[in-house]
Amino acid sequence: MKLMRALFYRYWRPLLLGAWTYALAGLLLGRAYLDFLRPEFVVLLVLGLLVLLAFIFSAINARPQPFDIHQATRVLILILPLACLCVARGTTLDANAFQRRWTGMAGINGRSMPLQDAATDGRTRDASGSDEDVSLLYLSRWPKGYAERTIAVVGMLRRDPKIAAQFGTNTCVLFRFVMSCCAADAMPAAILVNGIPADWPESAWVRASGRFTLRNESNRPIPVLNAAQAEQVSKPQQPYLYWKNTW
Amino acid sequence: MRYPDITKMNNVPSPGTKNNNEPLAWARDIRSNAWHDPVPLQPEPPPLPPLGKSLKFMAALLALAGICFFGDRPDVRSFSLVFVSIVLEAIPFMLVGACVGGLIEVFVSRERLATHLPRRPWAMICLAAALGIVFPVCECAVVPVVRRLTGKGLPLAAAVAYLLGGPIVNPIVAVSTMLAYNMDWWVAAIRLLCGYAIAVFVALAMGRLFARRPALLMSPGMCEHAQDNQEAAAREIGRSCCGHGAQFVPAGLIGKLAGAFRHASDDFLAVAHYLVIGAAVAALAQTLVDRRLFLELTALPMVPSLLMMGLAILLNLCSEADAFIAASFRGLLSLPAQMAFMLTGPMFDLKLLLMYRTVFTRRAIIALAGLILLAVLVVVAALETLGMGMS
Repeated sequence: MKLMRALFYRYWRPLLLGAWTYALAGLLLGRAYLDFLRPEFVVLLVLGLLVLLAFIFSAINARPQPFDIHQATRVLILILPLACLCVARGTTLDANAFQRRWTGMAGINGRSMPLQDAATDGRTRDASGSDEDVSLLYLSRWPKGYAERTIAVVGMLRRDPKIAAQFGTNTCVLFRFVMSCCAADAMPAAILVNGIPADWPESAWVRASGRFTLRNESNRPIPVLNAAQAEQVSKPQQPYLYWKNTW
Repeated sequence: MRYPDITKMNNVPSPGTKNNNEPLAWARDIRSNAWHDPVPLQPEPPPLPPLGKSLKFMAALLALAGICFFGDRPDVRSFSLVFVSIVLEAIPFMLVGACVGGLIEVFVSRERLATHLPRRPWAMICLAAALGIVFPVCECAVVPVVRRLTGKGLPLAAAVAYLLGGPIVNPIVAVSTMLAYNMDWWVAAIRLLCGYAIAVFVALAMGRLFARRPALLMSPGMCEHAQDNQEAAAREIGRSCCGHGAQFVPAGLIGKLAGAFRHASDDFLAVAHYLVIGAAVAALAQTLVDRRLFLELTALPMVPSLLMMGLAILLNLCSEADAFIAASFRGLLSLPAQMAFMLTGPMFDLKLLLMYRTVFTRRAIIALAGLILLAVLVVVAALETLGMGMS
């Protein structure tokens, strides 16, 4: 016990840095960082891992630092993200997060957002989906290109009372989060969808296909999918969508 | 514990002493931007009482236990997801920033730094506020770098200018803002220009306010070695920000690199726990605050801007991504309100507030926060007056 204590007092810094290194390596090897960050962050994480390794070596050779209650608090605080990492692995932003972050349809395709012809933009298909699957990002951002076409789309389900009051109880929201850098800045891309069975749970992953239309509400085009077919599907390999051009 | 009076031990002139032979005398004469004296001259803040330390320890322990025991609850999982995202996003930048700080510490002497800076204070401030164009950094990386630069004697005003200007006035932020606003270069230009103006104004004001008062701080947590080797600290002052650097840096390139990494890891451990606390508060806010509530309080003039400033402080977003959040409020809030969000966040949010504690005294942080918020409000009011309504 005495030896353990002495070792901890001597090596608490390398141990702490080692725990962080282990966590980072685990995230990279298991590609679990995709739960939190966009794919391009792999380069930065590898760089961070290398720096942490260098820190460990420098901390092993450094003179021992005193370990008092101040340092113990610091260690506890720095362990906190590692504990949360274990809790959050495999979790995705869900309907609760959607409720907190959604600023309404106007925030998605309001008057300030020019509606472009997505077909000429070369960004009409979801890279992860089949040929007929369309990304919710493009549907919500450039809906004109898909108007009056039959499409299929995959997203999470949200039954919003305000939407139901405005558009009818049969209408719900299909959304996916679009990530700029990390899950903290992810914003929902959403469309309205009709024809989803009422007993399907919130946050369920749904693939709906049908005719896509633009409904005019207060001079604003609101994208609506009238689903002829809908099925519950498993969570996609990449639950988030990404702004392709930001990196 | 107080550091020894090194002006007596090391024949370093005290502030205000006229000495034209001294290499840095020119800088000392500039009232608003006086080179601060080596860090140990700053009075160290009184240590926390044992009760405070114990409370902090207990709070950290409780938070850890809470995560472990309630980890299967959906809201805790949501909180954890956002919390880890913020930390993981910031950590690589902070590690690199710490490394840059360590390299500066070992390879750049005060004298060399002084020779490379403009002599006129306003020119120095204007240059420092625009340095992000050449060295683009986000707000997490800039703190360790500035901490080391101030240790090398960078004037307070120039340090503040780089600290505030760097995370906004840089090409990455310009591009991300343009992308968020559908390639609207005008929004990006307004953001960068306003950010630059605020950085310069706050830097000038801080330089004047703290010309005779200590504003830069070396806390016990940042420089543990100095506590047990005060004589060495006094001897080596001027060569190292914490007064002991040369003692830890062997000769030769490998030795110097090892020393740089040692300093960098010290910096990282000193600053990272503030990032973690800030990220935890931001994650809590993201888990609990409904953004549509903000929209219901926007009827009064200036209220949307104030709310967006509050949101920016709470969310702790990276300056390279926050434009996308601001853009989501288009059509709902005016451009000045969105600008308030994009200008406040990179200069002052919860994690930065905590991280500033490793660089500035408490009084300086209060002044800095007040000046930033005031400057942002003035800029936003000016934009409103100029008639920039809904974007």
